[in-house]
Amino acid sequence: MKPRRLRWLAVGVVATVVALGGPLAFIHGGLYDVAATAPHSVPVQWLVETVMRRSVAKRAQDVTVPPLDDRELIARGRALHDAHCVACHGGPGVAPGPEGLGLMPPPANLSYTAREWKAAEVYWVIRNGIRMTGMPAWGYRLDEHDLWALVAFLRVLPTLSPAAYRDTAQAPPRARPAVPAHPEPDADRGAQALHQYGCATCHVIPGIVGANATVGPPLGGIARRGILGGLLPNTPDNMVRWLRRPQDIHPEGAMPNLGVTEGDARDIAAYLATLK
Amino acid sequence: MSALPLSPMRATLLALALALALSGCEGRAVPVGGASKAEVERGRLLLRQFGCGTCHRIPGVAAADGDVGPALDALARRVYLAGVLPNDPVNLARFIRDPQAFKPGTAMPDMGVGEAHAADMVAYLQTLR
Repeated sequence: MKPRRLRWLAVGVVATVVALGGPLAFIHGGLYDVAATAPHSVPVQWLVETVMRRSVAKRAQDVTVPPLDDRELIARGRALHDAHCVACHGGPGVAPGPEGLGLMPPPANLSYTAREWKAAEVYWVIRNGIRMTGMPAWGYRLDEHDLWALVAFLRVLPTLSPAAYRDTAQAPPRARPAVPAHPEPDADRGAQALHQYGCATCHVIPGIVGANATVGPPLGGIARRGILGGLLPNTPDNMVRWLRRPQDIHPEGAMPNLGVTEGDARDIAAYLATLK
Repeated sequence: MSALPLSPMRATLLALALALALSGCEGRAVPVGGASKAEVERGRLLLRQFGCGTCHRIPGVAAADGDVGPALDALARRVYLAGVLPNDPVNLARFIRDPQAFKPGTAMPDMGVGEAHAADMVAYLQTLR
């Protein structure tokens, strides 16, 4: 090979190593600071904020907003707000709790949110949460009625003075009747539900991104497993029982009752049945 | 140490090498290792001889493809044994020897494993990371 060509080859190799090695060193070298004690840099803040706003706006387009002026709906929303939102977001004249104050990005002031965001967007965010912000998805904890009750109350929130807010405090929300199960179990819905009940924090689960923890046993091949938890024959009904209330079957066990609904348990079981 | 300034290229490569070296596993809460190769191999054989593989999938153990109980993949990294015992080598040996004592009613029987045999089995299972 001619010296000239050799030189270009060498330049190419060096450029490739730098192009691949730089990002790899950045990722594996731990150079990015993930501490919540400091904010994002200006460009990162712009990037994530813009991506988030556009993402929510696009996905909320198809949401149909029901009537939200019903007094009882608003009152229910107030009780849910006090039970589930104030700890992180605070309220008029009420500081967020320490868990909220320590979050980065800081949880929004909801009076501000209610003025700046459309009702459909607020509903979408409450229902689905926002990854990597600390905003949880409430879609698996609250039913449709309650999700909209929160939206209904948030529309009223900016009109309340701190005194009016304080004077209208509500009793804790009463539990609503159980959500009816979906008519047909669905493995795809089950895969989504697996994320929502924290399953991935303890089990290796094939096909579930991020499910690589070894607190409990791996669930690969669980469809073929003979015994569940060492105690129950692995039938579809027993799987649902175990998913819903493992502590009823094994009170000493590390696997907690996670409040899995009947419908979600049947969906999750449908997914697990695909792991042969 | 060389006083020569690093070229950006060498610095990048050095950072890369350092990053890969540092991404290893330090400071685990539970001590592992220390078993001799002979103990590990004896353990592999014993897991087979005591029929563990009829109920459990055990990587590296011949014909251990049972599906009655959980697979033992990465068992050394498991936090709990049978959902009840914090997993360390001592508890693992105790559990193998008398599972019913720790989880009454469990489908896993007392296989009559002696103390020395259990220690060898643990030596092998500790290699499943």
